[in-house]
Amino acid sequence: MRFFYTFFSGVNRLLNSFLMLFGFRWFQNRWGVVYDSVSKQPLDPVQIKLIDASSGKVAQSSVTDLSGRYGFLATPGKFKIFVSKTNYAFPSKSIRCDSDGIYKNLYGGQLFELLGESDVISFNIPMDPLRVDWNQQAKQSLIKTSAFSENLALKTTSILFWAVFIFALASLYFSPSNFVYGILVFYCLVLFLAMVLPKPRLWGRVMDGKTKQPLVGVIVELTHTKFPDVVVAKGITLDQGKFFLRAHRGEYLIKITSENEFGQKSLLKSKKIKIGGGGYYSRDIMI
Amino acid sequence: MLYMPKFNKKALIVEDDEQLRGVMVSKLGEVYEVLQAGDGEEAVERIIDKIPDVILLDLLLPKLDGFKVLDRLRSYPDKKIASIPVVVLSNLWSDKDILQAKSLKVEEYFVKAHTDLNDVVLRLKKILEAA
Repeated sequence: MRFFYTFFSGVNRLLNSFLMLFGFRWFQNRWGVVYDSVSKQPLDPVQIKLIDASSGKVAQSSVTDLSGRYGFLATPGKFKIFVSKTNYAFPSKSIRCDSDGIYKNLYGGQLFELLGESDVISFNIPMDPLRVDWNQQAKQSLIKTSAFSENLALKTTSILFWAVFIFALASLYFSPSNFVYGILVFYCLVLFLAMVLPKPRLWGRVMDGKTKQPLVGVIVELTHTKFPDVVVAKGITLDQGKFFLRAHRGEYLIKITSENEFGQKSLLKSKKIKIGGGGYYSRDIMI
Repeated sequence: MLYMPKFNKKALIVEDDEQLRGVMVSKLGEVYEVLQAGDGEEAVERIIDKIPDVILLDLLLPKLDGFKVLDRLRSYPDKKIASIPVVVLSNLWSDKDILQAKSLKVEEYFVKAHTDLNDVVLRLKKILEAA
């Protein structure tokens, strides 16, 4: 059963990557990025707070990484997000639509509701620059970001995709051939996949290996393999044992730890894992 | 740049982002005297002038980066200054950066994006209590 799940989730990830080649699902459903509304560069460090709208309290808080990324795994409810960074203003007054080049699913300070079951909240959030920020200029030599070229690539692939489609339709009318039929079948397949393929899940789960029950409230940490005391990602399992860990591609040590009411921690499991280009770990871990 | 002292232990917060620095200052400032620096040169001046008991250091800093601050600190002739414990809070997290910081004897290395700031405060308080 576990083998089939791993196999199908792997195929799903692969097909989603395939769709991205044609301009579908570009950067969707991975993580949120807080970015400069003018330069389109990701911002860090940005303090980002998930506010529970019913109580007005901070449900979770985080700081964006060098690539401006963040993500909150939250249980269903009504929320608001508040972000703050020196020299930047939120909400953006210059970007008021739902899409901004490569950045889709934008957030501008509105109330939103997470329905169904717990999931990852990962809006892209524009902020308006107020003055020159030293940190943003300095890190340009460290982090290679290319929002404009990525946007150009996205538009180019989309235009090519639809141009070839229109050309194939015209060819079907003027000079039909098996090659043209083949191209149209390929297009039907891509469009069908874009409509029905589920988005890859971003969260993993911690389960009891014997009872198959989810383990809620355990700490999941990713640490450097060379420096095990340096935590590079951390989360706590919610309902259904779900956790959300994001990290750059690489090999890490994952540690599952439980904590009792007196604050004493005990290590439940530790193993080496690899994180791919997707930048998140979404496997099930059996204890 | 100086918070009202409440106890005789001093912490220096070195962070170029004013808002993040303000959060750390407010979390520590209730119990300890907190000094602030927004760039590397200012940090070195504060260290020599005030001799803090612990330093929270960002690595990406204007004028003088955190590695150079650490280097100057560890090679300072006065051993009291050279041995001040340092906790790093940075978004740099490559093997190279961590190795370089560890070679300059930092007490702890926290990655900003994956750290609960309260954990950082707890670590600083532990160091200050032991100082």
